[in-house]
Amino acid sequence: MAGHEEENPNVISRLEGKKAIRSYARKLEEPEVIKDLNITPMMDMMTIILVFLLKTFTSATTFVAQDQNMALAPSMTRMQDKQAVPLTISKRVVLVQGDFVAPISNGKIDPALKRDGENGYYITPLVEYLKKLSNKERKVAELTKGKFEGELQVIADRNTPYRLLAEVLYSCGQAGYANYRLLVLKNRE
Amino acid sequence: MLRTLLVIAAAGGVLPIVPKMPNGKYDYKTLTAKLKEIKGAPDNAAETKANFSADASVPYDIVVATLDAMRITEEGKILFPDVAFAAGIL
Repeated sequence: MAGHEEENPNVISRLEGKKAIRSYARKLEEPEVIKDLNITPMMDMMTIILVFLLKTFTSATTFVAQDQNMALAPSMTRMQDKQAVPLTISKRVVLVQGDFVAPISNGKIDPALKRDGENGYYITPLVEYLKKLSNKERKVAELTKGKFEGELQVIADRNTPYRLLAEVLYSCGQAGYANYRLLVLKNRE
Repeated sequence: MLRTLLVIAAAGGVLPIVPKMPNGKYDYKTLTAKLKEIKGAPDNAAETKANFSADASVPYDIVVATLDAMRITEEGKILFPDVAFAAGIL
């Protein structure tokens, strides 16, 4: 039997076996100590999460403060809004990107601000403002190899007369903004 | 869109009008039904564009409600969602 053990190199004695087991157990008891923590992958992950959250919040429903001069029209639409140049028509003013463009009095634009007077559609300060803005947006689109979409997000008071809406949209079209998204309240039954 | 009724016009002519209801409100359901009928014609099946014009004093919320009626039926059938606003007054 002993002679058989000596002949086979894979067979070890009981004592050697115990030693080997103890040695292996000792190795297991001593956990590997992390001396240098590499935080780069964690930073990458956090950055990705941050960008995702920012993107989510910016594409969420637009915030519009409603007061006595601005009440949105209700609608049955289920479409999501999309970011575009905001154009506001309240009871008292026309704003583009929050900048004052023209005053409104009794649902009308002052004829002195229109190229063709009382019956005109061309609101001069609005066209001039949007032409400057479209030039900027076209340059940005060229540099970024993007496309100038000429899209506006129209935020109008629910009592805005159609004539005023038509004048504003006509003026926007003259400056290259021919696509509109009407911002409404998803509430109408 | 006039103060007292809705008019649907097409290249072939003007279709029957949609008068206001007895309670003074615009009849959006009938408008949608008429447009569904038009959309049902084989020639119009793929058409999504429509021109919109209204009387000068029509308020914006009525415009939005009309666009709602033009866009989709209650069953979810798409009618004419691509609307161009016409500056001319009827």
